[in-house]
Amino acid sequence: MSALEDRLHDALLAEGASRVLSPDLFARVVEGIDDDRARRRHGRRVVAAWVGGLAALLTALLTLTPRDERGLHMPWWILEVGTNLALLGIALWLGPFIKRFGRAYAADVFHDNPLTGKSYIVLTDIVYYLIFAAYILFSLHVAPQEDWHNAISGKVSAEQVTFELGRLGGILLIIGILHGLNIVLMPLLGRVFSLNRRL
Amino acid sequence: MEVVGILTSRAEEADHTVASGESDALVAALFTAEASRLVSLARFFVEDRTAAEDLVQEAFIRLSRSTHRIRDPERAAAYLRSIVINLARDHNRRGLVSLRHRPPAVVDEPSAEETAAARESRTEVVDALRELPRRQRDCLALRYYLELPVEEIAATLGLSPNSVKTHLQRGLRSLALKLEVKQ
Repeated sequence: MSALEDRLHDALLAEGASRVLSPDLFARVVEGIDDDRARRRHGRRVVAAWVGGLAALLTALLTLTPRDERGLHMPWWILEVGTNLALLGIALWLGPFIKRFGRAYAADVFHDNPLTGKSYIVLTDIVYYLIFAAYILFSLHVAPQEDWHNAISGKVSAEQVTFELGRLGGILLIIGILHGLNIVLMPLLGRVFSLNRRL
Repeated sequence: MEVVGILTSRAEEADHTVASGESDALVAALFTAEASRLVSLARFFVEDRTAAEDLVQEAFIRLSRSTHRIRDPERAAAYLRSIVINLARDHNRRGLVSLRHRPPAVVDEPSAEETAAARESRTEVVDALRELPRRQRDCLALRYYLELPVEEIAATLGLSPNSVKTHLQRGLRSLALKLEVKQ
């Protein structure tokens, strides 16, 4: 080995030997592994519950829907109710799901005034849910529409499917726009609040 | 039917318990043998002891997830080393973002008997090592701290032995230049 290699080797060994492990590191590792296993078990259960639930729903739909030699004849109101449940599910689940990823962002923005940050988040949640509720109520139907062409048959038509898909796309678009606006506006508001506080 | 279900779930649970028991034993044995050297190794790549210990903790968690895939327990230490090196790379890529949300770092305590001059010389070498390009730094740390042969470094980093030799040569050359400049 050259002098440089010797120096490097000695320096790294001495540096390594000079360090003492934290006494609680093993306990932290064990705790981390236990938490990780619990989290993964929980994740597997959630996935299994979703798969089971969706399979049960699909089975129920296929079993209960009247059929003949031409295929399935689903009454229009089943699709309407299903779409409304899906809209409610998206509104109630997707909002909190997205919020989980925004906590660090909000904590950074409202670093100087965390209480204002908490109120801001609660108020935006209320605004979101009011908008979602209004959207669902405005687009809900209690009778077949003329342009669905199924007023007489009372069965699901291609036009109704298109309309319901549009409703689902609509709520996703609203959620996307609201969260996008929030991402852009939140730092500006946080800055304004910080300046006010300093003044 | 219910009895069968219970028996099956108990059997699965027993299998799971045996598997996790073996995994725990492997993790405990590796911790005793490797943890100290791994924290020191990580410390050559990251800015403080807290970060180095966090990386090692995460490496053991990841190892425990994949112990069932490790066919040769002799290779587990090498696998653990490669996880630490990859985590250190990701940690340095994330950079300052993670630092803002971390508790204050624990400072390394210098030993009482070590002279100030020796400590300064050592720190100079380690600082110069940290400034090297990532691959050169990884190869030098594995070669001159863990004293691994070229083939094992290549396996740990997923490189060919020839690339490892090149990185070692370039790393030593850059290190010599940096140390000359500082002197």
